[in-house]
Amino acid sequence: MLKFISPGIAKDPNETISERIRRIAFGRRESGLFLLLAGICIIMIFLKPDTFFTSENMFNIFRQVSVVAIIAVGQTFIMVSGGIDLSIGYNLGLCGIVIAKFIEAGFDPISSILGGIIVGAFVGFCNGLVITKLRLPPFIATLGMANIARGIIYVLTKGYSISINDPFILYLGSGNVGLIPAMAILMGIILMLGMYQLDKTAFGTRVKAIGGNELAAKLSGISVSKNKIAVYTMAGILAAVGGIITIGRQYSANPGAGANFEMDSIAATIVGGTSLAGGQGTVLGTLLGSLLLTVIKNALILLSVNMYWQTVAVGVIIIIVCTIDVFTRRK
Amino acid sequence: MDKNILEMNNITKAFPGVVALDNVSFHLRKGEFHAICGENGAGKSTLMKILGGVYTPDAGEILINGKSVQIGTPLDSILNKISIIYQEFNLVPELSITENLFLGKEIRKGIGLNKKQMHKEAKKTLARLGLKDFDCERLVSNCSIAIQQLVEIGKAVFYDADILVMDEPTAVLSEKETTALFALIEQLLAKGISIIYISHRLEEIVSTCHRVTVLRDGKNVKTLNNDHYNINKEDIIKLMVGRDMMDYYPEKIRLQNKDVILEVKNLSKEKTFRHVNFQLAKGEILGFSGLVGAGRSEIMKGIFGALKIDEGEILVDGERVHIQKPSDAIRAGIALLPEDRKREGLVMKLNLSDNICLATLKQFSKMGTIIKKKKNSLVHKFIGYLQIRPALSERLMENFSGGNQQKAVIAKWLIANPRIVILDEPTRGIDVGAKYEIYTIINELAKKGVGIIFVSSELLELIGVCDRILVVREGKIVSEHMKEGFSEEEIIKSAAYN
Repeated sequence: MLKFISPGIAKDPNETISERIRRIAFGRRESGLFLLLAGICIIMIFLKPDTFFTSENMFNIFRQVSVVAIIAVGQTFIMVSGGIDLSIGYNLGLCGIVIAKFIEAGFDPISSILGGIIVGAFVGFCNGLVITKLRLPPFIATLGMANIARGIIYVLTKGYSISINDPFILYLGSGNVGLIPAMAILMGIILMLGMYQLDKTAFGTRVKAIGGNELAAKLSGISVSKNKIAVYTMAGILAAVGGIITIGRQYSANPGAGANFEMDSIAATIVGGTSLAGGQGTVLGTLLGSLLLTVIKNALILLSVNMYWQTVAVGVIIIIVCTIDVFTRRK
Repeated sequence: MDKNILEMNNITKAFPGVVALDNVSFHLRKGEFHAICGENGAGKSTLMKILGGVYTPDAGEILINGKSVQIGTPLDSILNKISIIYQEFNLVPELSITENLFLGKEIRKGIGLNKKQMHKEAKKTLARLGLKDFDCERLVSNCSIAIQQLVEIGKAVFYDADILVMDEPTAVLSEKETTALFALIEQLLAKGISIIYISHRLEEIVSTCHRVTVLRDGKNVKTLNNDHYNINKEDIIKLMVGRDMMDYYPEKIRLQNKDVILEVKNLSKEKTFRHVNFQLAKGEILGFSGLVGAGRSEIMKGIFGALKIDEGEILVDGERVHIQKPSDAIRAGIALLPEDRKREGLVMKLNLSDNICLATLKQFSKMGTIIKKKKNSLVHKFIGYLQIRPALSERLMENFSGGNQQKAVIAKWLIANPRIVILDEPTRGIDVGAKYEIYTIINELAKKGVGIIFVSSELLELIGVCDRILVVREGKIVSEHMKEGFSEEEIIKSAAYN
């Protein structure tokens, strides 16, 4: 019943209403993911009626998904452009440390955050520069950068956490606006901007064109390097935003905070339907991918599954979803 | 010769929105050279992909030697001794010729490979194909297209294929290479191999094929006998397009205006082209003829900024322009339709509308946001003007036929409103009807005063369309021919000999 077909099924002007409903419901990968997500939620409501569908647990899920979804937006743009960013996790950690250091040194929270964002952007910019000017494959360039960022984190902290007690940063990471977590609102804004940028702007079209056929994009007068550098810089800025939320949520800047986030963001992006080969992908899919992985982890916690087995389950899910995708696309 | 080796009966195949094949039947006799003709989208490639196991038919049966067979995968096709050479070769460029020939059926010696014997066998195969003493250790990526094609044919011979399908084999070959290919085909036929031949070059078909099957809009039109090479090109065209085509090339109204719009002075690039000088007038159609590999495409890329030049000047309207990259050329009013539309012209995973707008995104956007209304209205105007079919702007580019893909590339550049248009092999691999449409578009552009450079390997086409032809040989312009004195013979001579 589930069909995972990537976006781009042609609209036929003569289609009937039932065809239209079918196209919208099953024609896009997003709808398949959404149905899968809804299915898991419904099962959980029956299995754990008094713990799963409570406002407390829902907020919990939103808190857990926010950071991954935010950095996965950056990862989505990069993967649509045909690249990959393995440095996103440690960049996130580095930005958190930098902000904590600024605050420790007596700067106000806004300037500190700005400092963190500049560092994040700079790391992304360097990735873009190495990839476009030195022509290193993105995998290698960002692998190197990941190690550089990780090293700098330990140089700055000597391995110790820095505790955070600035109220503004704590509010961003742990506070609520009315009933909704502040970071979930931040995630919402970033997702909307990302969606808009990828689908409605000239920049988004250029990124897709570069990922789809770099040579054709270049011969159409599109500056490949400029746009690629922009994409990596943007991902760096989003990593910094993830860093702010992480330190606000953990009440401390932890040197190991960024580990594995690059893999989580890649997983969410791929489950969301972005092609590893570039050229195709949606921000909405990435959000659903992040949600799916988070909800599954949450469900396993509520079902008291051993923590290590949870990780195994996430791995299995990634493989299953992508397998279904490969098979339906082949037809 | 009368026994059917292959029968495809009542084959039907539908894709979302189109019926690609509607009750099509096709019979191939043993040892026969059978051509399939039809316009783009007529269903030729789909029929062959069914034979190759790439698609499964919705209805119909396939008989081989009178026995019904199921071809569900490419492997089934190979096991039934069918070998298909697609336009895009199935070779691994990083492997040597020998390794490619033996891919999947290497000769073993213990746990390793028997390289010596494989090498010997490979050499023998190539020799049988007329390529004596060729270095089989060469990487395929270092071989010319003609050699790569021979390796593909070699693979078919190796698989011991009974049925060989060739999809547009001569589109990328020079005249000499084409002659060699036909000699080879004759040899294969003599050995009892049956060959299905798809080509847009009707001259070749009428002078070599035994039978011709014509498809139109996914249906059988007719199968013609050509036992005595008695059918002519016009008969086939009539069946393909379903009407008489009065003239191959549309009438051109020539401008009297002789204002020079583009001047190229002393353009050079090491090992590629040297001291290229020419002028292009407003409304002029200037042809570039020459053999494959003479450097024509490279010169065009040099002008367009897609290839770094060592020295030389480019003047547009008498003013020197500095072109470092394609966007500089676009700003100067130059457009380039590249030679290889799939690799260089289009983004297959984007839809038609986005592809058309790729070079002019700025025009459609305000502060970076694309204004959908403006984009849609212009896109639909050009889809209508160029008659891109089907007229579905949201359809992915990869689902369009070759001719319509080419029209999409043209649309992309027409929106940019260029003053100089360079077309590199714009009609390669597209059907007669679409060719005529493209010639008409070129004429209309010229009428508006656009300067046009037309690069083509089909000399007759250049003679039919151009006002003036320059011949390129080994990176140099060697001769100039005016419309009044066009002579096929002279142009070929100056293209080929020193």
